[in-house]
Amino acid sequence: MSDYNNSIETFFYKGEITVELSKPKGMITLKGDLERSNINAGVIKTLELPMPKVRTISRKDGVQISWMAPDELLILVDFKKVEKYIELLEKNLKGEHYLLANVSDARAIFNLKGKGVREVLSKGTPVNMETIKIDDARRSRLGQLPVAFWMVKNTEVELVCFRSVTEFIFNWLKVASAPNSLPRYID
Amino acid sequence: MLVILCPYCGVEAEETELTAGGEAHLERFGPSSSDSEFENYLFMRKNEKGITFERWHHTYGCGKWFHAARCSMTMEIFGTYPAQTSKPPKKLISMIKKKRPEWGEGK
Ligand SMILES: [Zn+2]
Repeated sequence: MSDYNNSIETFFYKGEITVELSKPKGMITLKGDLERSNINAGVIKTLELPMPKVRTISRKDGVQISWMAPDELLILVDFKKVEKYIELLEKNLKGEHYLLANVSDARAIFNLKGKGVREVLSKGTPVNMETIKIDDARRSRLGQLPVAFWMVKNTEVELVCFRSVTEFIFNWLKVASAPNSLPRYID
Repeated sequence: MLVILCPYCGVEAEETELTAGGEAHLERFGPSSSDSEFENYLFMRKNEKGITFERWHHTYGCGKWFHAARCSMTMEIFGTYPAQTSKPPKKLISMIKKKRPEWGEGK
């Protein structure tokens, strides 16, 4: 999308928390049997990161592996290096049964910062946000829409949604983080 | 509101994160079957009052289908298990029998 970069600044809101559309990130979906040692090793070798445990992420220097399902990972890399990483993954997974897809243009990432981040999300997701710790990842919904999110810091969450619903999710987050709208139930 | 454990991602999923998939362990009757067999397979369901085995889909989650044993009267969930099976695990059956001695596996 050519105007994606220009639209970033319009997706900024500061209420109880700061809601901000992230700069484009390279996103790769990997489908495959993660229990297979060759697939496991190929991913670890390419990304130089440990395989994340169930419902967590592992990350270092702008590269991240997010656990999405028993047979699915979402890999985050620099936007400009996506093709390179896909090539490398293909090389290191040679002979295995898997699927790789560049989903960078299909998803949008929001960065949510602030003390009330758990409470804002609690307004729309059935996830018990009190139990979500740093590096925990969840795939769930926000209102009626599917999203995934992970805890970067105790006061910071990254949330992924489909690119086509960016505006809806932004407006949703905006309303949910309006000043003085938090119950202050979760510390 | 039901809370059901997804056996794939380990999430105690709240009902709205899931989609109900109807009766579990149906035997498929395909093109070579008789009309009545096919009709039975397509439309006839036990719809039991009491212990029932059903399919659930973790739609807003890991996206996997799984099975659950539930009481349709009390809404008690006895357990969940992966989809790669044509009958409930023995362990789960004996657990249910212990809890509900009057239950006869519905057969
Ligand atoms: Zn699941």
